[in-house]
Amino acid sequence: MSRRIAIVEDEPSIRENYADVLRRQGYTVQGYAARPEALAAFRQRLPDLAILDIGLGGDPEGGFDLCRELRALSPTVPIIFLTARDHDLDVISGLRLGADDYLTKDISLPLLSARVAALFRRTEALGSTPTAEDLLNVGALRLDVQRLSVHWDERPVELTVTEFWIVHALARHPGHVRSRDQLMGDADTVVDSATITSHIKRIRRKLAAAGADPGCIETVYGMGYRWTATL
Amino acid sequence: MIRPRLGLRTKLLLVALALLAIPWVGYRYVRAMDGFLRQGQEATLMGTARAVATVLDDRPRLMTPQVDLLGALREDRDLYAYPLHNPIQLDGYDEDWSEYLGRAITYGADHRLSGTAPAGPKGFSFRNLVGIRGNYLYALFLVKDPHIVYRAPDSLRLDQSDHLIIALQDPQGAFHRYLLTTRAPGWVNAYAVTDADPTGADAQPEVRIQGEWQEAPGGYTIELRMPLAMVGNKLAFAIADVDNPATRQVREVIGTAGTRRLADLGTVMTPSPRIQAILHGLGRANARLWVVNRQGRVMALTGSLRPPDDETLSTDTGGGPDLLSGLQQLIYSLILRQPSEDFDDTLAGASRLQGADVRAALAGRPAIRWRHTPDGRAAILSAAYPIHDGDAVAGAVVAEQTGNAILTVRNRAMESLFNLTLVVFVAATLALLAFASRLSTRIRRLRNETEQAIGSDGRVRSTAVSGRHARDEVGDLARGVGGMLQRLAEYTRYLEGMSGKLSHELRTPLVVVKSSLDNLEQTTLPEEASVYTTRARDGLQRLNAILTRLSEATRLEQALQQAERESFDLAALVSGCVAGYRDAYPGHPLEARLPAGAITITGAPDLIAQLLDKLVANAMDFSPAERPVLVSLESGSREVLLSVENEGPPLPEQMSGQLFESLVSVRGGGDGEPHLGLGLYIVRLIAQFHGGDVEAANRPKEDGVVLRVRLPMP
Repeated sequence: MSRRIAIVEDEPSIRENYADVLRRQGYTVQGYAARPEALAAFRQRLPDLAILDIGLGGDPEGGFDLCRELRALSPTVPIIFLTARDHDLDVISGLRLGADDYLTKDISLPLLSARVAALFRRTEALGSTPTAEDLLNVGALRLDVQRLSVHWDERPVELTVTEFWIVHALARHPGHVRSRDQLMGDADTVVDSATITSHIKRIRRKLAAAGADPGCIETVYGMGYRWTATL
Repeated sequence: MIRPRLGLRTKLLLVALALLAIPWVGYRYVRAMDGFLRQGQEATLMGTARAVATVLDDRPRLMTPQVDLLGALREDRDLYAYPLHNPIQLDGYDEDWSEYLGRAITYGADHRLSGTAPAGPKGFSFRNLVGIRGNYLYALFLVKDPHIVYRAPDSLRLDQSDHLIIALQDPQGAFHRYLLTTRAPGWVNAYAVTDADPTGADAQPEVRIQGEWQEAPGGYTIELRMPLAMVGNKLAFAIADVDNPATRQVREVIGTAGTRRLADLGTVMTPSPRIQAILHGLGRANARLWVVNRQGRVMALTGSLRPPDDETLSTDTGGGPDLLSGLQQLIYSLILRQPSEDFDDTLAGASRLQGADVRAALAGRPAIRWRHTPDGRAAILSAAYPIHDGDAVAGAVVAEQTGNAILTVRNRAMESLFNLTLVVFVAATLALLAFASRLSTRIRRLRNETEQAIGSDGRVRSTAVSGRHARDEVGDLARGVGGMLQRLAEYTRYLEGMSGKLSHELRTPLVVVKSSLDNLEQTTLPEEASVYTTRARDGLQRLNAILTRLSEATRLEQALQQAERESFDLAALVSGCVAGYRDAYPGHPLEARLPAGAITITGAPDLIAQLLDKLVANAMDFSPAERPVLVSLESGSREVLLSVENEGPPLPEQMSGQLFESLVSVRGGGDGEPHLGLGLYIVRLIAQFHGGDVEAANRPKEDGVVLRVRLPMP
């Protein structure tokens, strides 16, 4: 029984291209062009993962609404926003609505597949006990690579997949500067440096909310960022 | 042709000159009023004359108490007794008569009654004046006689010395003759002589005729008086001259008329006391009334042309000696003819009126005449109205008045007109000036705001235009400009946002192509096809880069809206960045001139780093290989100057102002990398976000370009 992925995207070529790639990975892919038909299908049967575009036809915020409705139907189903809109506000709105990741359409299809696989892995790993090799402890920070989960002093920090890999890349080599380009590679995503900046900002905020010093990720101007070893 | 620039104020002031019509109209009005007043005065005066004439009409006994003259009136023969205003002291001097001396009639050779004239100019002659005061008739004789011969002390005869002959008809009609001579200067009396005793040897003194005989240079003066009761209508005087004291022969007799017979006598005209009494009751202030008989002889006179003294005094008072009113008085005295009571009224003591108006009235026609006094100081209006005696004209009433009252009224009107005009003119001019200043201030402010609303970069800085709430044309203009700026700002915003929108819109088809290529590579392709997919991917990447840069500025603008400000050490930031650039650009040496201490500013450090990225990237692009790029940071008291210099080609002159605008680039192109000219635009956005500015300039020696960013210190 293959996993079922729903793609809600108003542009047929893009929808089909994404669907083809994911089908080739062995997933069952269902494509929807608009919110009403997608929602009707979700009520019939929940997908295992949903990929949503924000602008749906004549409905510029349709993806957000759909995300809210889907989250109401199921609090656990992974949701990925895949959109051309890369405004910080859109990213924040999408993640606040409960999406697990926010990807721009610049992302290459292999990277998209990898992200989908990672999310499924996280879902699966939720039930099992973490193994030692999957865990990375840096001071008060504990990263679980299997579940893509982060804890600060045993308090969970809800990070998106992108954010998780950025933190992972920095925390694996404390004190070493990772340039923006390196971070983009580590996070397996194509974002420009401004996006990295806003990701870092969000991570700092989330860590701070969990009790960490936001200075744990230090900006090295002109070069990049580094995990401050002393903390 | 150069047209002088005229401001609104100047124009409105020129328009205000139209106000000068006000004084002109006022002047015309006053002139018209003057005419009306004159007419009114003429009518009033004529009314007075007619009223007096009516009183005197048909009273023949009143008008003709005297002898009816058969022939024409002769002033020398028919004497006129002037009413004397001052008392006469019989002292033999003419001082008391000074007012009337000008009217004295001279009797000379033409009035010789007998005898022969000596040759030469030093002839014998006399001047005579007759006057009335009280119940006396006075007479003055100024005799020119080089040889005075007095009466011999031992002689009884009265006619063997210089003597005066008085011949008169008494009121009862009897003829009397008197001689008056003296043995020495002094008090004299007349002697009545008769035909029976012509020499006067037996003559009785007539004490009622008394006077003083005094010698005067070139002759002698006789001043005498007699009661009016003695004198009827006829009177003649004659003076006999005796030059030889030895022979004592009368050599020459000169007289006003013949003295021998009653028929030879001339008349004497005395003002009629009854008419005088009537006139006195009718007299008016500031007016003079004459009654003349058919010959124009003055029968009665009352009133004066001059106002009473106290009135002239009162008109002179008032008006403090302050500068303004003094200046005013000076102006008025230059413009306006001042009424003067100090005029030369030659007619005052006239015995006979001969003006055209009098002639017309005596011919039966009422007449009006304006005349100027000989000295030109006053205009006198006279109205003459005939007095009828049955169908005949018995005489005329002449009423006279000066035009001073009208002149005074007119001058007052002129003065008040002048004052009022001055006030109105000044007030209107000030009001116009204030209005024009306000208007031009508003327009100037609008112009300044319009000029400053669009900066040198062509961006609309502010669409708020002051004065757009005014409900007039300037307000309309302000609203119009505001609306225009609003639309311009919207359009500019649209243009600026276009690159971002464009990139966003292009991204979807790009994703289609990209995902299709991804899918294509998943399938098995012929060997030769992979070349094309690689090329397609290259093209795709370049397209993607272009879109990324295009949206970079837009994204930055969005980022700026959310950017959080914090205090940070700019020097540390620059030094860290420079270290990073040394790694990033191994082909170019990078020199840094940084201050030793910290420079703390407030701002977004990420954005400043981005700014420095763009500046350095730009400098690296233009710098020749192996030539250094210089990054320097200087802090002043209020601002920090961050500059990046390279040794690249100098800037084209016309570009230096636009260099920091969107989509402007001086690159020749051709190096494969897409350049949209957004880098320095981003620099400017960030600098402006921090309240600073940017400029690009060639280095002084034209050997490179320096880009400077000025950031304010907190």
